[in-house]
Amino acid sequence: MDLIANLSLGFGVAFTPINLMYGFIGCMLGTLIGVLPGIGPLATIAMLLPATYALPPVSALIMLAGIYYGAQYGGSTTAILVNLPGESSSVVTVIDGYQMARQGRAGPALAAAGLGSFFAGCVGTLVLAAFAVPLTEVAFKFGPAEYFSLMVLGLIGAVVLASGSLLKAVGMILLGLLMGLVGTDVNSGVARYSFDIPELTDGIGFIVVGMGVFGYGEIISNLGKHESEREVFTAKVEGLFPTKADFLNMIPAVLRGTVLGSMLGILPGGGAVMAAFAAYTLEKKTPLRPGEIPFGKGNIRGVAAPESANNAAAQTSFIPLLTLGIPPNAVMALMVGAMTIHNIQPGPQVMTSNPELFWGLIASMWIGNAMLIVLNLPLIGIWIKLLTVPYRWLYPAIVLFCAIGVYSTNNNTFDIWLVGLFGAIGYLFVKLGTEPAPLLLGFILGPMMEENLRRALLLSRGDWSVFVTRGLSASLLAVAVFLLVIVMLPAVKKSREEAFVED
Amino acid sequence: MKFLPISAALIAAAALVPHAAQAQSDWPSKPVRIVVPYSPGGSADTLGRFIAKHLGEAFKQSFVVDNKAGAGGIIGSQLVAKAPPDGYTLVVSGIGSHVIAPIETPNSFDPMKDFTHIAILGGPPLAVIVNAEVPVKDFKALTPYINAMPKGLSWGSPGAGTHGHLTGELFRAAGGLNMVHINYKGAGPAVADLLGNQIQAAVMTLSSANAHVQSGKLRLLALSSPKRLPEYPTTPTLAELGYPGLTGTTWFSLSGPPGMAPALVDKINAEVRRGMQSAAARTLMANESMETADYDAPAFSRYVASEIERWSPAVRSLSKPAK
Repeated sequence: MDLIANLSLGFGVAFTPINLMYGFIGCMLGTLIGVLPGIGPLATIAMLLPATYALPPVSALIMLAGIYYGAQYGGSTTAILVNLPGESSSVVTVIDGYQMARQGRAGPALAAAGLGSFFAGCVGTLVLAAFAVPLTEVAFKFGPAEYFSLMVLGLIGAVVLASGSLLKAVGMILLGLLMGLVGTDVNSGVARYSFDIPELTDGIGFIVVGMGVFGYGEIISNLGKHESEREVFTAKVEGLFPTKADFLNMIPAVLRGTVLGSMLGILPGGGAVMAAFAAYTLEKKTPLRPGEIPFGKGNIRGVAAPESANNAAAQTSFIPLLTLGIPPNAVMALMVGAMTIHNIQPGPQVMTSNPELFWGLIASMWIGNAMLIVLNLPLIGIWIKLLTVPYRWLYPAIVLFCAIGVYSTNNNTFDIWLVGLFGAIGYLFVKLGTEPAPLLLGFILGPMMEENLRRALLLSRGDWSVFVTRGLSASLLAVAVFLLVIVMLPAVKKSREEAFVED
Repeated sequence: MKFLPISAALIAAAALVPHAAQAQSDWPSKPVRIVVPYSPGGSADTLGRFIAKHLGEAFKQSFVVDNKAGAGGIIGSQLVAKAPPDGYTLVVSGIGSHVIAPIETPNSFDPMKDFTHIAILGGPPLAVIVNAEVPVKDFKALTPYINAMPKGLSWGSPGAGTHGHLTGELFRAAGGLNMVHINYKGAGPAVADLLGNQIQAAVMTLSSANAHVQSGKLRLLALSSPKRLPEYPTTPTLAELGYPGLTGTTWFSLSGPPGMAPALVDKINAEVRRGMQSAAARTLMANESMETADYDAPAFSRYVASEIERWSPAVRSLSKPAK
């Protein structure tokens, strides 16, 4: 079969010592920067791009790709251990992951994230290998109206993300949408809400908000508690590996997350982030097994599903790049730059004119995922030791790393002040009993929703009915309405309020 | 003994004199930052990274590309205009960010006074393309097709302030056609929507569209080059089709903050010209459907001024107040 022949060509290319070495370097670097808050795969790839000029093109791409999907593995580590989303797609992992860590189950959480990521990475790569071309046709069906409807669905789903009061969740989403408006308008180039501060004309960065609201907010609130109430994780550290019951719960979650992630990763824009949020929302809607911890309090499915989704999405996001030469996000755009510098024209003909590049890259992704799981699982023991550090050393270290990470993105001290401000805001959120996750989703989706809404209306010449007359858009909106109804049903609402317990 | 303080002072003074010249001959003594005021992956970024690589090898220093996208190239360019003119901060300027966008965004900067223009890099011609499923076989059939559409044609470009946008708008104005421009952030999203038939036509650089024209998914109707291209002998130029005013290249160049020393500018210019005439550059130009030119620094500065003079009336005629 053609696929087998191509794959054997690919493995032949990927299994050479030099490509294995570069793949390993990429994966290791990716894990490291995924763990470090602030600096992400985009900045790292940008910095390392000149270093790859001397390498053969396949090796360069293998290394850079390794950095990208390796970062998805690393991002979950800080999310689980210290409530810090290292990557935007790790925001959802924070919700249940950190709770598991607080209960002394950081080891199983990290293992669940790692294993789920590995499975999803492998499946994602398989999807990339076998279905790349047909899937791009599906992606084409998504016009601006469909994107907008998908994001509306995502936002409604964000309400589901919060375990608390419905009103507060909606409020946080709206606040997030408003914050996303800060910056320059796409269509007219006018600066909005920038108060004449030049650093704000580009908008507030996700890192700044994430670090501030999650990381600093949590630290401030912990410091605000009396010493006896502060978290002592070490006393309750249990086994490093998930139990059999955990595995039973995890497997369906990983499968669902993988499917969702593979599908959503192809869509340009917020593929990995949307995938993580969608997978979590879907998990939350499935009934709980008897004896299972509710979501938001440390359910292992709430870690496994989003982690699988974001890794599957990271793999399938290569599809538009490799089949069409169109980068779906900023990291892929850098890959386009990398390919061009190596005199490879990214586009439909890459598969046919450079098959060893295409298949070699795909084969290297499998090898890379295997390397990452071998790298990450033993590291769990080391990460657990990190939690034994007394908080009077741990918290300043976190504050410092966050500040360095934020500064490294833009070399701008203004960003550090902003993180501090958001830390205070995050503390306020904790005190008010509101949750930051819906805020971040609104923040990420807001600008994209606006761009797609305006584009859809321009294309339809101002006709609002375009959102319901286009089949795919209409079905997405219908699901959104359905979800909204479920959420607002009085019976459901009452049980949500009953389930919400002040801890 | 009495002479000692005086001679010491004289020696010290003598040591200081060549310092200014030292700075130029020392350059570069630390890494140089080249700002590309667009997102990675586009023509400006490709050229910026290529010349950074060449200059890095030639001067044995690190030339780092820094992407700072936004407002059609204004945001990144403004940063460099305010930097010290010591040659350690440069920008990939071009027709978009330095000819078109400054007029469309008033109070941004003066492209001649706020920059020192160093050397041209090159660039592609524009391509007028349609989705292959659109029943327009050649450029002449385009105008009747647009006129037959009840709601007009939805067309895209790499964004407001780009050469593609300008050319498309000028075409629209010349024929009084009903064409609605859809804004995109860069050529990538525009190509994606064109391939998906969300928009039917686009005007963008040939580099962005070439792969898809070759694969048959998009149809090339016209080019903005002065003569027909060897790889597309059957595609007419806009000049041949009756639009000589739309002939142009989407050129990119290297510029720096105002007030750079002429000796430093000439030094960088000479090396850039060497780079752009090299074999590696020829391969890149061929792959990306670009052309380059060869100007010394004063000639290039005059070229920029002439381009501004040439396109300003057109941009102003289309400029609407910011919504």
